[in-house]
Amino acid sequence: MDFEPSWGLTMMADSDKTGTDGMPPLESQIRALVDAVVEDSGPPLGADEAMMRSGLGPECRVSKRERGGSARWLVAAAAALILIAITSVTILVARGTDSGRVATTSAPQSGFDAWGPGWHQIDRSSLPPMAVASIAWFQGRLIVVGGSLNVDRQGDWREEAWAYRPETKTWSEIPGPGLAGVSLVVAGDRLVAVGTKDISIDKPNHVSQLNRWATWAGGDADWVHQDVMPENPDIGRLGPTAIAADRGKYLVWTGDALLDFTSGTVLYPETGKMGLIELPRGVLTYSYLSVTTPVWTGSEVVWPARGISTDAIGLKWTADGTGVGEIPAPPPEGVERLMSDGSDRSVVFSKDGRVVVMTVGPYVASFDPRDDSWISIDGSDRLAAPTCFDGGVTSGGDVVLVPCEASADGVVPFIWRDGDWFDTEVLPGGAERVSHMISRRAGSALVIWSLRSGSPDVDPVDFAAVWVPRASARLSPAVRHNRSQSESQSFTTTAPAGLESPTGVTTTSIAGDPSLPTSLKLGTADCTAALEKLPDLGPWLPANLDVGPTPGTGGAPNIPTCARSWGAGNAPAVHATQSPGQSIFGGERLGRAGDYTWSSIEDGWKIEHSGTNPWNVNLYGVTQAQVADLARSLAKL
Amino acid sequence: MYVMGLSGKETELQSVSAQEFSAFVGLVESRLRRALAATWGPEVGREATAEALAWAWENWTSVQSMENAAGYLYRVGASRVRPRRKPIEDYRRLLTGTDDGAKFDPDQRHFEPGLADALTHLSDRQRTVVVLVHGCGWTHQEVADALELSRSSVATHLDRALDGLRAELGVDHDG
Repeated sequence: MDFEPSWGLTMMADSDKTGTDGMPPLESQIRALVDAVVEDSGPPLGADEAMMRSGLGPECRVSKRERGGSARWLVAAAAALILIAITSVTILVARGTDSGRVATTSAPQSGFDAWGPGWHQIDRSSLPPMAVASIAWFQGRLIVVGGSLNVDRQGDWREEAWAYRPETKTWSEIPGPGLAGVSLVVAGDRLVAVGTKDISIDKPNHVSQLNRWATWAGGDADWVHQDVMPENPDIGRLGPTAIAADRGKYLVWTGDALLDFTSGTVLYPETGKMGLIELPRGVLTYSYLSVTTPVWTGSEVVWPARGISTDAIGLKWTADGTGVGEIPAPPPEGVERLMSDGSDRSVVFSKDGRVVVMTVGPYVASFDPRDDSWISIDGSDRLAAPTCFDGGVTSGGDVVLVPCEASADGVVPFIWRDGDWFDTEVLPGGAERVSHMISRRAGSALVIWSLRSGSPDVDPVDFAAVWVPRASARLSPAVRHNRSQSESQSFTTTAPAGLESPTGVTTTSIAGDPSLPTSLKLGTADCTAALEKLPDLGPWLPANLDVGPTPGTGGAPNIPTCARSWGAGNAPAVHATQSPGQSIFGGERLGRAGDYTWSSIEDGWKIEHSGTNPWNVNLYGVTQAQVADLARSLAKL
Repeated sequence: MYVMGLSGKETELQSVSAQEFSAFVGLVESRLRRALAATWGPEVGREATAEALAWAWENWTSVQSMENAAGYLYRVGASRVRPRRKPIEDYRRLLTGTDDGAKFDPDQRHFEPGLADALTHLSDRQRTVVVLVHGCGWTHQEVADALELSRSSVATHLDRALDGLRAELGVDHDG
């Protein structure tokens, strides 16, 4: 320890008061304590150990943790050291004889990393258009397999299979699996393509031999076509189908078997064997599962869900899909309303054996399969997440959220990785919105790939981008997406603001049985209904919030609404919107006449009205600190 | 150090990188291990340090461009051990002298007997801030960068941590 009593005594003499029992000042005590701790942390770590540990790969490190204890780690490290030493000798010999290359141990960079941090557009212009496509990062290349119906050739399916090399930024054609509607999954050392066969434009509703699969070892190997997949006829009751836009979301690799929840089949890529996923009795009652996705936790496959019914439950399977069981539903608050609203508004991923469900709001709930317990985090008071997003979950546990709302500069995706939010930059290429996409991890990078939505007004056609993590801290000081409120401006309140209900609001959007929840629909609002200027938003907004109303503006971009907006001069970060019964994004469920909730996020402020007059107004300021706070909460799950 | 699978020129470059990385480890390891061990205890802190340095090698090009690599690696290490969430029991066991495994004679310590326990009773954030500032000598700005906090927040956490420690230890302000 480097603490010297005399120094401490001097410090005490200069202090207002001393510690007890002749102890030095508290700050010095802390340093002495830390000295003791550090002394016990062992000898310095060297670069060799770091490089060796890196070379072992994360799986080895995880296994080591699971086994526990440092002794086995030392054994493994020693073994690795011996191996490296032996191999190094081999290399030197090989170099001496110029006998060519041998296997790689580790490299600090690979793939897209060399492109530098941030978003980069991947040029797809040399690729033929594909109506559907799937991507995978396999053996250092971005593999794309897709295709489209070739109308000029009597409706034949035209398959496309390409590989992209980040090093040269070039595409090259590769052999395809000979299937249509392919979804790719990396399963161990093989690339698996699950698709269909014999789609004909002449029989648009007829798809024969629906489920086929093939495996590929890469390189010069040919695709190995496996037998026709057996189908579990009841699997369709769960919702997703083999022609889902991203069928890959329902393909779960457990390390040994590949569970296809669109066909109900268990695939073993190594042997080509197949089986059926066991389904629960009365599978029809689980149709609400389709709004989320199944995920592998490391020990079992969990498909969390909460449907319209408050007692709806989720399901779980063993790694080979033979055992099925139920899990309790997530806590009702937040999740129920969102998980009943569509899979593009929720993402499911696995973290440290837990299952995390994230929905807009944001609402985050974490399930621990070991004790069937849920933990929920209501982040709505901390982070005004995009009111709608499309999510992709990679094998590495990343989550990319591309908001449907664009900032003035463009779309700014959020990425959650390793317990931290990454507020990324504006997507390149002028992309205004990417709502139909798939994403996959590519080494340490993340690729998003747009799928055709059928509406060029909604999505950029043939868009692809790769995000390379920044070396610097996560959320940049210049928070994007209009999330730049200072902490002093943040608040959350449910205090009545004395608002008057606009004329006709309580009736324009109500349809169906008033006793049943009914989703709000676009186009049901009466845009001619009189809107009233918000007379008083309380003390929270600037006094000059008096610009407006401006009919026809506000709400989500590209969505016609009759929202009115008010702004505070030239401060775009302070907006309030008022929309009469309109289902802009954030519109929730109707309970019965006069009892409804809707919300919108406008430039960082969330304004939520609920109930009858006077409306309660919830205003959410959004700050970087709040984002970080939520991220920390996630990290503790 | 030679890396397999590369051409001669590439191997030479990798060798240079390895040398630079070794020099980098020599510069940051002590500071990093001290911070992580102070926050998480000696065993977990060492593991976190090793994980952080392994990550640094895997992302060496990026790390080279960092202004405060140690601060960033602190967060990498902390994030790697967080999932285990191993409370700093070994930290307490090591220092409180109430366990057979205690390595320090309570009479030889230069801190209050209950200080380690008191630290474990702080919030994670308060404990992290106070040990980084007073245990590791980090500036408020360095802590703010590493923890993604404002400097004022660091100061607030620090004040509250010290107040909490004083209250639990029953000592007056000695500051």
